Amino acid sequence: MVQPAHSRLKSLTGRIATYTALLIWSGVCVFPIYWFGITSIKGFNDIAKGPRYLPFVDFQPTLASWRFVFTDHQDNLRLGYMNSIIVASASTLLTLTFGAMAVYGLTRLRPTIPWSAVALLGLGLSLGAIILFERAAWPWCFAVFALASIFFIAMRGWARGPMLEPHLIAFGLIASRILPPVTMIAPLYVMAEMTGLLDTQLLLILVYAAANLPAAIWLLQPAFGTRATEAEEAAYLDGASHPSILFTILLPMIRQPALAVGLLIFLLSVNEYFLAAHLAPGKAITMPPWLVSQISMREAQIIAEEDELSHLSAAIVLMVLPLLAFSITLQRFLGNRALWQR
Amino acid sequence: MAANPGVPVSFDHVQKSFGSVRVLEELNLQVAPGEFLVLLGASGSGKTTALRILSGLEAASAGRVRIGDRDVTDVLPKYRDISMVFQSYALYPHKTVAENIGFPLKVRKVPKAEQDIAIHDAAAQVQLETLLDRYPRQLSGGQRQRVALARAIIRRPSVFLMDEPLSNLDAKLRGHMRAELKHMQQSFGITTIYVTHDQVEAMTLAHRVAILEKGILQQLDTPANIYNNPANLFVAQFIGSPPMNIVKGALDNGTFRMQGESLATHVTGSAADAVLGVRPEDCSITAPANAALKGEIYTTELIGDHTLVTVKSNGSFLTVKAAKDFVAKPGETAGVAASTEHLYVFDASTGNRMR
Ligand SMILES: Nc1ncnc2c1ncn2[C@@H]1O[C@H](COP(=O)(O)OP(=O)(O)OP(=O)(O)O)[C@@H](O)[C@H]1O
Ligand SMILES: [Mg+2]
Repeated sequence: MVQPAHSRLKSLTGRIATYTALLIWSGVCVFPIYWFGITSIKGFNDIAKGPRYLPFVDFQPTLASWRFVFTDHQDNLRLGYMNSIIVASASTLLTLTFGAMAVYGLTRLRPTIPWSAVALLGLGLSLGAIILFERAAWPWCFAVFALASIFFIAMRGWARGPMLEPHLIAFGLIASRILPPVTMIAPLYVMAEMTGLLDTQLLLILVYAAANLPAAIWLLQPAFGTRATEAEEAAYLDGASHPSILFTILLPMIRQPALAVGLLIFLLSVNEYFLAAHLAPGKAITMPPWLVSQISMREAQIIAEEDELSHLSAAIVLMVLPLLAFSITLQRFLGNRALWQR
Repeated sequence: MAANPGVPVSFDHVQKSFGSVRVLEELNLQVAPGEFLVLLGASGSGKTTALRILSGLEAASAGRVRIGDRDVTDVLPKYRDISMVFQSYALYPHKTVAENIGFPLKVRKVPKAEQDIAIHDAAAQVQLETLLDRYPRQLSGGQRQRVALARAIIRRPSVFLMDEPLSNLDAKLRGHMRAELKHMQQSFGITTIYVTHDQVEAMTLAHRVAILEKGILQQLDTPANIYNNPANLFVAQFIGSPPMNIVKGALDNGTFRMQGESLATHVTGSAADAVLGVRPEDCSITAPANAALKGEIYTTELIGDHTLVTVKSNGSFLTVKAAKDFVAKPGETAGVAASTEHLYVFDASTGNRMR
């Protein structure tokens, strides 16, 4: 195609402006990573003497911090690193599995749960509670609730009456995220303590999986569509079970958007600080709380021991690099028509 | 393999609506054991919907469905023992052709060695042996369709459901597959319901043809009867190529009257608004004086073994199948003659055939 001369000229100046702006913005984005990178190879003196920008020119790089991070008694770093990887991977896997199952159910099986069934569940739970915690003040409360439930069921019948439709369930899921996490921390802490899961990888895995499930469900839904495809129906006719249709037919067909959601969930989990800091401060510590603990612990000493800064930088680089790789993969999937152009 | 005895299938007052849209109205249909029944209808007439209700993928809004001596209306699809070819092929994109074809056996946990033999047999039947390692995206539309067909025939179910399984094949392969399907169906004796909008396919394959229009069963009969004894105007015009000639008029005690002319028919009775029908191959061109239907030659087309003559008569067109050496100039006046036993009369208000 031939463009008129003036438009080519215009596009040239336009392009220069665009690329200049992009370059500046990239610099802003990349600089912090660069800064952590070079700080991690600076010696004590170079940090103390003020800003130094170029290795070999401004200062003589040293691998002392990296050696320290990898070899010396930095068990905590390795611990945090491993914990982060295990917790984020396992919880992402769990979130994706249950998220996919939930979306499959909501879009394919059209569960319509009678409110009376919900009431029956309430009845069961309250009876269970009465048996479990025989507290003086509680039983009559539960008894009133139980009676109301029985009345409701008697009025409605088991399978008739108003239904809990999929879109209500989906809204309920997202509504559970309206509460700020800070309100969940106390009950979570108490439950963790009661079950003996406090400060374990398993606790974080379960909590993250639960916390990210609504997001996963909402993000996965577009890829699942609103009804079964004919390929699924063919498998169903041939006798395949719903789980095998989901995992061997449907998920392979939508693996790109599903993986993109998975990577997103992974990043959410691996960077989570608040819940991790409160629920797993010790042997199950993950990278974000560990980094923060390093900073606050050492703030007072930093002026005296600037090389701690380079240790910290090395740790940050170590944490960010795999995430960067993940993000680039994610970007490839997002750019690859998976999520946007289905 | 021993011939399957075949099971009867029946739709009993089956209705289907999607919201307020009525797609099937009171479908009553009995398919005999081992019968090859073709559901023929225009696009959107409800053919696929009928198959989906029989397969259990869609629930009927009302009515019962039976397979064999079982009422399967509330039975899950996998317990109905059917296999189906989908209009859209419905292949598994991430599985190879062999894995696609073998899937029904894999689900049933058939031993691997047995699966492989069956896959090769089924593939051979649809001429796919050389493509077993490919993925669906590497196949043409016709090849995909044959994979879908092979996946359906790898099992010996009680009922085969086929939704336009040959629509994407080229003419030669379609002819071959048609013969192959017919032979297969005869040798297996499996009750088959076959959906198509192609009347040649319907006529050549079917024991009986069910013609569906707007969710209403128009006629259910053998191909010959459908052609020779259409139950109503719709069937008469739908079947036959070129379509039946239609002339509007009135029936007066067995005599058809139009535009000052009249024609004796075998039909008894009267109707203020009637339609006369006659097939192009039952007509001949004669001198205008000898015929009630007359007009002027509009075009002649040499088709090969015959010539199609279009005659313009009172603003409408009549088609006549004439001998291949027929010659006439456009504008010449001509008469169109047909013998009385080839005349069909329909009541214009109901569309029903008058006899
Ligand atoms: N899930 C659905 N929701 C709403 N309307 C539907 C649905 N499925 C089919 N229909 C409607 O039902 C009618 C019959 O559809 P059906 O697919 O049975 O037609 P068909 O005879 O198979 O046509 P074709 O030859 O084009 O495949 C159509 O008008 C269609 O729009
Ligand atoms: Mg169809």
